Amino acid sequence: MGRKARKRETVILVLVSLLVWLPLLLMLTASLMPEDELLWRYLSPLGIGKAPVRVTLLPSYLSLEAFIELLFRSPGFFVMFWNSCIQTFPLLLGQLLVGAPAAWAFARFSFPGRRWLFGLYILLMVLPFQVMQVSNYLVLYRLGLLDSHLALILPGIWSTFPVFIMTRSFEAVPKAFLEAAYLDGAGELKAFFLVGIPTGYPGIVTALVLGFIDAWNALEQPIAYLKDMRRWPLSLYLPDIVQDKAAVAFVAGMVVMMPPVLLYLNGESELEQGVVAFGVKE
Amino acid sequence: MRESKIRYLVSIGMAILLMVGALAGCVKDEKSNEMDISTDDGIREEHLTDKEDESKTALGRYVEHEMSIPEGTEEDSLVAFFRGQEGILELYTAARRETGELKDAKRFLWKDEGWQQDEGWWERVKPQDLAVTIRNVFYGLDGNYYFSAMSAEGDYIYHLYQIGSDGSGVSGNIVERIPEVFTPDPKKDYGIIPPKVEVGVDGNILIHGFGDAVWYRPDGKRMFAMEKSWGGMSEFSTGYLTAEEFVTTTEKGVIRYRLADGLAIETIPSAYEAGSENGDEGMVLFGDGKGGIYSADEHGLAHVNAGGSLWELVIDGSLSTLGMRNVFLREFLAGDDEDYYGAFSKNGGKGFLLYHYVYDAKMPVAPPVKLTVYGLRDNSTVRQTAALFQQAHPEVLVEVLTSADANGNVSEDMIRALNTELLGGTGADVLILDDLPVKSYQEKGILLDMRDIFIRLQRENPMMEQVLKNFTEEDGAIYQMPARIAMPLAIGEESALQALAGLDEMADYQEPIPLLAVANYENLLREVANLQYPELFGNGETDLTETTGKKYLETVKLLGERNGAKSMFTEEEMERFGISNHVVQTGILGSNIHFDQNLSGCGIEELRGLHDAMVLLAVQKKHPESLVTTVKQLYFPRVLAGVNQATKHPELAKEFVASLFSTEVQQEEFLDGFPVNLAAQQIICERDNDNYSIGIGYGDYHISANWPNRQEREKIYEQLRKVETPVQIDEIVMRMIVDGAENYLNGKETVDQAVHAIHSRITLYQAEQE
Amino acid sequence: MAQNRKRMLIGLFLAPSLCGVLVFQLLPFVDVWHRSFLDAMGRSFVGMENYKMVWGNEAFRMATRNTLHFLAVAIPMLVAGSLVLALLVYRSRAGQHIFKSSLVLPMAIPAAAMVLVWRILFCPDGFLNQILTQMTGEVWEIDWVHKTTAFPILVITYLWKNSGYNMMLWLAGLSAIPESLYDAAQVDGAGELTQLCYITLPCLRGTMGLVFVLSVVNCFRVYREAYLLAGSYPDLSIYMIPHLFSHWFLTLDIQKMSTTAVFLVLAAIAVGGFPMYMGRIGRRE
Repeated sequence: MGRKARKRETVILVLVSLLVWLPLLLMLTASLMPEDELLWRYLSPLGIGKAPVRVTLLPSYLSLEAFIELLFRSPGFFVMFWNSCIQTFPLLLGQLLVGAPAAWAFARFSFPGRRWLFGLYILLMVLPFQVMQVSNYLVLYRLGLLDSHLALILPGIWSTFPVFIMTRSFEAVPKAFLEAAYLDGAGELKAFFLVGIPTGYPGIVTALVLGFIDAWNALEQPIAYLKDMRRWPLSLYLPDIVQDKAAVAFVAGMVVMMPPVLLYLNGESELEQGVVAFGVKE
Repeated sequence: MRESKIRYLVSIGMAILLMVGALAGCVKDEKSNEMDISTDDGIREEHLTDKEDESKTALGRYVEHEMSIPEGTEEDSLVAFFRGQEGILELYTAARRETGELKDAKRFLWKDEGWQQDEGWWERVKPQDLAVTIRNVFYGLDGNYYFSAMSAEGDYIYHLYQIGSDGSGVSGNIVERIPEVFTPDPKKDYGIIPPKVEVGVDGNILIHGFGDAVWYRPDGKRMFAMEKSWGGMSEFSTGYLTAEEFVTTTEKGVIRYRLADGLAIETIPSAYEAGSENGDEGMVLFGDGKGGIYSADEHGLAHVNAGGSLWELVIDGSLSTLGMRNVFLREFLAGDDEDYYGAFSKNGGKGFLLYHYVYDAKMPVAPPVKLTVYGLRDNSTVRQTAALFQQAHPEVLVEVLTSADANGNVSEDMIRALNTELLGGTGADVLILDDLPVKSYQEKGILLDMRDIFIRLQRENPMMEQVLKNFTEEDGAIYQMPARIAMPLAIGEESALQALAGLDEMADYQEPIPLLAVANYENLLREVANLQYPELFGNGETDLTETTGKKYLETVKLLGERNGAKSMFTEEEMERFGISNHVVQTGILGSNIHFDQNLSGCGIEELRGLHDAMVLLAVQKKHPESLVTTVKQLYFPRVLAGVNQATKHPELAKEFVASLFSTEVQQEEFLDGFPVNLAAQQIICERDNDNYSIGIGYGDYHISANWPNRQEREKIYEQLRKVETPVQIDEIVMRMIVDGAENYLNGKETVDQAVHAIHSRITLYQAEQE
Repeated sequence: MAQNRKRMLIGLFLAPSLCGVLVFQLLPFVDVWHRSFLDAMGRSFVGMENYKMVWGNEAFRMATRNTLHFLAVAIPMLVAGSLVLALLVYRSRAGQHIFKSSLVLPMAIPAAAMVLVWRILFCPDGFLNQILTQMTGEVWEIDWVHKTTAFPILVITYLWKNSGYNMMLWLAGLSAIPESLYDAAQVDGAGELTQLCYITLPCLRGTMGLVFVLSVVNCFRVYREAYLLAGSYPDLSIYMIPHLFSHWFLTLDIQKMSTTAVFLVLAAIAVGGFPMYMGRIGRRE
């Protein structure tokens, strides 16, 4: 394989990565711009007026004004940040506690109706939220959960998506490992905890990272089920801001995406292995 | 492995941020009785959940008691209300002359549970060498009394006088302070006329302005200015002084300035976010003496501790006069025993009300029955009705909920959230249907038939027959009814007014002066669509045929070419033409002043009350040959009330709707439309409001106008009684037109392309409903 | 005995999930299904009326057509594009880590923030028009998201957001191909292209199904971006089923939404992605 070809391939990859980095850089720059410069550059896109866009990747000078404004002067921001945490982390924990055993059962046991049940799980995963909104509302209403964090947490825990992902990863656990465990006299429970969880761990992490991104960026659910704005999560802070506080809009964008990105960067190797689990199986 | 090190560091940074966030959240969560971001909905809801959780056990809240006012001052204006020397309550009133000036100021002291007049006070303190009219009295932090007055000699000069330490003026030592500050610059006609003046502990003087407050040394030397917001009143300004600080508001919230150097040391976000029709008008701030701040406005009395940023609601505005929209909060003070006093002036400034707020430990936190009223946006008529309903039904808590954000923006998600509730058989009891998909609600059976109320009302206290008829279904059912109406009123010569008759007539108007005044294209599109509603949309149908659509777009383009319309104006153009890019739903921004300058053949104003008629009438006086008439007897229904069929309190809900139409509510003039109740219309026609005048202008143009006199009021109401056809353009269709026409109007597309694009969307919209 | 014990065990593993899914997922879905036979307020039974109404509805047909069009254009591009990316990243061992991380980032960006950047690029005063003006010398002021160009923009948005994630799936598949296969091929003197066609692609067939299903699922999520960019009645070429849902929701036509949802489920079953999956886990026995 020629070095030239390699170089060419690297160039292509760099170009493609730029397609991701440039917009992100644009956002970062905008969030570090003084307010007047931002308005001068991006009046039209912000929907405030009409003027040619003046794109730049370097602000005339750095201003942390918007960051400070958001992080320290908007008490609403931290309340919403905290709400996002309350709504996201228990949800993930629940998904793990409930989803992992179910996925294990789907992946490891044979029982009548298993195929149909799993098929049903997949179908439920595909339906768009809007369709289910009213029916979900009725269930939550009957259970008296509306206008509480649980209105988002409980339906989230029983989302079938993580079960789907985890099942795929548990299926990839080599039979040999399990047989070895059984030979050592391990029961099914022991096999699940000692073999299933450690070997399927990457798949679990994958499900959780994806679940996190989903829950963190949820828009429709909180608007529909939380009338009390004091319980709104951070994801709803964003659309709200776009209208008037221009610079803060970009900063909020940065800050909202930060947790998922960092979580990803940290969980990346696990995520990767989790995804690898799919491949191993084939 | 440098890369992993960076990753490690970044994660630690993020973890710290997360922790800060979580902790900040925790801290806030622990003080759960304090409000967090606190929309007014939030606050009220908190009370409700308390109530529902602990049922009838939650007791204890502030109760409002009306205070007597001195005999003979019932018609007087409130000049000042404060605690003076030794903390005694003092009240200053004055009678208002026809011309609006105040005369015969009186001083009262609260002694032995009653007001005692300080006889002859004004005679003692008023300057002997100058005729003045009183503006304000206050007790400075330096221990002296002061009063301010305007020269009555027509030179509009403000004067500040120091009375002395007991305020009675008996010692006779009245000194004028810093007159040089208020004397007009030789180049200008007017000097400084501040809405409020305060004096600090060291005798320094703070002069509130319209956008800042300036700190002067006792010798009149200007030190520095501190930025503040201004609610638009010429005799009212928010903010107070302490020994070291000046506390006031900016658009970011409540701000503390250090008086040593004028630097802002802290900004505390406002307690309330949700937009109110009244804006920030009438917020009173005062200190608790321990560094904390009280804020009183229509939401209620809220308190924040020194160093805190979380407001605690002390008195719920919805359960007191604070929540009323027909009175204006002037002063709010703390008493000595955790009690409070409030002073309100009545609409128009004639008469005032005083209240004492005392904590009653036996009073339930909230009444047992809850009636919820929902509307997308805040509305004064609804708030006022809620406050009155609350007083008439102490057992009912009326909760008014709105969704729009502080700028009045509404998103589809908000409507979807409401629909979710309605489909689930829950939702508010009373619905204010403005900008909601009423037609669907009606078809789907969401709305209760209210015909029984209106049959009764029509018998007892009739409203405009034609409005009632317009909103009565063929089978006699009534699902929605506008509590207010607005009407487009046109001024112009006969030929111009005739040209408003139809699209063809508009296009054929060939005078050198354009028919309609310059506006941005979106407003122009909306204006023409509203004025030609019957021709464009038939009898209330959303359909716009391709032929009419084409004629409509071509007419708008023609009108726009003649008057110089553009998609978006620059700042400079807005300044020059006296226009704005602000889009209003009806597209009618008011063009009387353009007509007045011969810039347009007719001036069109959307009248929502007599205040909107003032300029129109002033313009007509200058053009006696012109006529004033409604445009094809069209009107805009506002504050459309309906009852949710799923309500658990149908009788209460209907009664609430009935009170929206009661004379008591309808006779109040807010900014949301004319009353439909005939008795209220009569009352307004008969009611004088002499001391109200406005002036508007831009560039070199200026016009001032007074409150309409009896004859003029009758004239306006005569037009109002003529209206026949409600204009209700589906905002979705209007949006399609505006989006689809943009490129044609900018000359980038042909009319056929634009009409086709619009038409295909409208067809799709209709197909969805099939 | 052992049989019973095993059943209990399965119950133990499955029950927590099953109960919750029953309440929070299946129950609402059954309610949706039930509503498809009722009138809007759910007061009376109308039989197949809703199905007839929706099936004959022009807006529904248009939305379905456009959705299928979008799927037909975007999914092959996404599947193929992400595969190419995966192959490139897989081969460039040096920068693999950086490229991978970069390409997955768009998944985490909230729609509202991304839309701001998109507007900077595609609005009439935007960056793209400026570049075109500079290049051609003519004045470009196209409103990219409100014209027929909205379709490619939406496809680009979709690709931008999902390529990285799909690439990860492919990479996983790639890493599972035993090196020995390539070694053997090299001994036989097979070129790179031959290796790709005869070893790599056939080995990735299984991953294909997974990538496909997740791509379809993510397709419905592109609505948020479409709505924020182009409004609720966009250019007709990107008027898709989620738009229809959103409008029916505003007019309380929940019976039509429910009916469409049932159609959607039927389509999903019919297309065969799901039988395939069910079949696969059944096959393991």
